[in-house]
Amino acid sequence: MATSIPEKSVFVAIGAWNPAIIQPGWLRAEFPQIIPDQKITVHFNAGPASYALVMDLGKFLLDPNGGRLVFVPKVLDEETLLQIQALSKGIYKKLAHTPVSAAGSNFVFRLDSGEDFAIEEILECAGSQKTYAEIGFKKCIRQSVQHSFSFEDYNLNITFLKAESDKTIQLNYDYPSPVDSVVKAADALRENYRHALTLCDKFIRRRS
Amino acid sequence: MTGLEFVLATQLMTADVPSDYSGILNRLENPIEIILSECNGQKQTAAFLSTGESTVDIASALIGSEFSDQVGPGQVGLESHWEQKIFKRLSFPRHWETEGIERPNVAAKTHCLALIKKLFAEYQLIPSNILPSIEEGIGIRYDNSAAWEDRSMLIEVYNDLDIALIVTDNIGKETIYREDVREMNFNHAVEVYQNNRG
Repeated sequence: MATSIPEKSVFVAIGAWNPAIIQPGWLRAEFPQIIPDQKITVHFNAGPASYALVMDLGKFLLDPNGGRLVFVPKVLDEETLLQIQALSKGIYKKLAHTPVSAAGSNFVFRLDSGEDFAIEEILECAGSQKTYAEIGFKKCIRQSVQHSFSFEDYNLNITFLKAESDKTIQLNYDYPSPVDSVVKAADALRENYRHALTLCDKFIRRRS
Repeated sequence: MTGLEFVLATQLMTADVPSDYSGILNRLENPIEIILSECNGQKQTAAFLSTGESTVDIASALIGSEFSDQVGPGQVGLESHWEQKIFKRLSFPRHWETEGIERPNVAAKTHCLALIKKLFAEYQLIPSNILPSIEEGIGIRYDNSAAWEDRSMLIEVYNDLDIALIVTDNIGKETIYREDVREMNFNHAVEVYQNNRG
């Protein structure tokens, strides 16, 4: 059975977030129900000229730097997603004047050794191997195919990635609306996760 | 005065603003619109829509520092109005749904917004209406009633992101130009619409 990759299955809200506000003390004071009285561990990611503060909130990490609010689950399950949903919406409402351009969630799954893509042929583009061989390119080390679909509130980008023996499926639920994108994306987070699991069932098959 | 500047003048009459607003207005090169809204049930605040100078600077100067914290970049604007219309207030007829007609998808909405912004930025065109299309997408209507001209330009952005356009002569009641738009190029269509050609 394909395994989820929590550290890549992130919820992101793109906007002019102020990391000087989104700090452990502020989060604890503003969201006591979501972040009970606990020690919030802080990680510092040092950069060339400054550092970025990433907060460990128990079930997930929160990175408010670089114009993105990124929630990184430690374990990908509905309970964690429920907390992320509540906190992301809460931050958005508390900081309602923050210009937000888009929000979305990614769910990434790695295929097990006995599994293949159900539609393996989409990565084996007919003729491409021959064409590359003719111009002297011998070995393709990575293939990536993305299909995008648009729905009323979100775009769904499905990426099949094959690198050597590593195969992953990435499902990106992108809410590009400049209006209420964080709320829509957060409200749909758990439903999108369940949808992603359903799609994985369809896109992955066990080798007989 | 243009229609938008007239809106500014009348609405300002009801606001508690300094009397030298006209001097500030004259500095603005592009049409602006002012929207007055209540703030905490107390005094009114004003939000300014400008395609030129800094919205916050103008608002702060005009209204005074006690209101300046109510206005921020990106809060209110023509663009914001269009965003709200397209992404939040696009009503979809119920009978279309029962007939199996798809609602506009978010890709079409995003494309539509980009198109409207482009036509405003390049030609100062403001849509008179934005509605869902029965052909599954979004319809945008422009009406040109300047002087003796009475033309309309109707653009449809479909859910597959194709764009179709017609220009109609509303006096002669005929379609005088049609085009499947490629690469967001509206030059010829706008010239026809504004009666600069054909």
